[in-house]
Amino acid sequence: MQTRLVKDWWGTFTLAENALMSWHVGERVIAIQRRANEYRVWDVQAAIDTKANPTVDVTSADSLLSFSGCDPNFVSLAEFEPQRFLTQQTSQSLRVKPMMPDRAVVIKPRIPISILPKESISLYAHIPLWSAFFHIEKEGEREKSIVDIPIARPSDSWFGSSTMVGELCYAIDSDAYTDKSTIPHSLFFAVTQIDIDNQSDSPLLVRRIKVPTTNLCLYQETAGQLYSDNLVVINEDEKSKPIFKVVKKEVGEQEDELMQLSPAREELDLNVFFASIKGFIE
Amino acid sequence: MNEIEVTSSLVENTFWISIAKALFILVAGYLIARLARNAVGRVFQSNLSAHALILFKRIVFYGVLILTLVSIMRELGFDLSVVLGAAGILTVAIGFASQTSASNLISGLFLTMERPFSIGDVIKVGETVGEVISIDLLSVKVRTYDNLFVRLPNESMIKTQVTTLTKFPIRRADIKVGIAYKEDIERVKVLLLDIAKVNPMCLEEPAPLFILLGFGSSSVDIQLSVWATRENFLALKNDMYQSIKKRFDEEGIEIPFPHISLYSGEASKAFDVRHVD
Repeated sequence: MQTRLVKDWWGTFTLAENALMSWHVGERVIAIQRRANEYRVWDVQAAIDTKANPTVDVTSADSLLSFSGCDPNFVSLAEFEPQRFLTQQTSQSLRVKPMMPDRAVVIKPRIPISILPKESISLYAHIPLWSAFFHIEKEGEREKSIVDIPIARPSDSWFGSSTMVGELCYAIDSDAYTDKSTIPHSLFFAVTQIDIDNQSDSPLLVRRIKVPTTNLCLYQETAGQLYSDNLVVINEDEKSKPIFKVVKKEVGEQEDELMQLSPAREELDLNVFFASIKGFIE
Repeated sequence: MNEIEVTSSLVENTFWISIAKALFILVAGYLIARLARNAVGRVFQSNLSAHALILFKRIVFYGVLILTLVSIMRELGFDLSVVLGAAGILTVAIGFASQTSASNLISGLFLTMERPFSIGDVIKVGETVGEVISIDLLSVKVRTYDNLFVRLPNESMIKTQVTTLTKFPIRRADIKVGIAYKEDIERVKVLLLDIAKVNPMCLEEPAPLFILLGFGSSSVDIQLSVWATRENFLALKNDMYQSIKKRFDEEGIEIPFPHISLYSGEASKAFDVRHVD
């Protein structure tokens, strides 16, 4: 069995028949096993928290018991029901991609923030990622999706002007970092930069910000940190609602520049976006 | 004599031809009405709600049928103005004879215009809770969760309170709990809010609400109000009650059952109970 600390948990992996691959992140274990005509996927709570050292394991174990027996503290997958994904013929090429969440994420600063008049600041928020599994039947063919699951599923939340009108989102409490260098390094969260420009004469109180994560691409910088596209908020005056913009990051050819890992789940529909920008900040 | 026979034979032939034509128009009209209804269904399936689609299909179907009937009457030689006059008198007569049906019919029209619910919505009328499967001119048909077919007259729908349980995307579940008087209410509040926080079905916003209902006969009565999407509503309610019971047992918090103290004579002095050998 190969057990290694996570460097890049995504990419294309070779998975022999009956082999099992797992990701142990925090209190979660996500595992996938390849059989002749099906993929079995587990998404379970682990017995131990490996928040400090997430691991990726690949084993050729034929049974889940031998897999779980490798580490006494590890969760025994045999105790849990897997999800089954059937196909005519499974493939040994398995592609795993990190993706931005499948719904918008509402960021709630742990302490509400006030931006002083005529000031512009940058906030950094950690957005939990999803892992998307694909199989590639033949080299050069289009990948086919198996499953798309959150690595650390945030709570659901409602974001809207009332309980009648709004949108179901995910919610996360955020430290709302202002210094980029203090952001903890993580391969399971993307950092979203939110630039807020308060052009009005009064402070702008920010209690919650809705980040349209389905419209953001995901990137990785050379040092390993993951980033999404930026969000820009401009508050012109007290009467009008803030203006929002998604600023695409530039993918460079240089080695020290950003590399795109996954595209946005949905193309940004500017008409819809600008029609609904009024509801992006509270 | 011969001429009379020829004329009567001609009249008879014309009559039978008219009958044949009328029958043909009836069959053709019925088929066209059905075709038009199905075509409307296919064309507007993706653009209209189930309720609007059924209504539109009915309008098209009955519209074509009415036109067919008018054509048949003309073919049979009826004077339409006389027929319409007779229909007016007939309507008044029928109206008096069937007031309930007429009332249901009018109520049905109001329901169609007001649209308090649509097909597929879950409604509660009196003791009946179920999914609306059809909204007709005389009644609303509902399928209850124990799979019973219930016909609710439109008149009663207009007169009584109807609750649409699936109108809005999120719902609030009120979880009522009683704790013993000896328990620390602040500690219980923290525990209950924590139980809500760790449940993934419980929405963070609108935030869970802790309400102290008052001092009951056997317990301090508390209400925890949590929000969920309407699909998760029942699952969340079940989950919350289970989690609260489990957590209270772990933390040694007593959920008291009703108990009665009996006194004789003085209000605060209990019965004198002695063990006798």
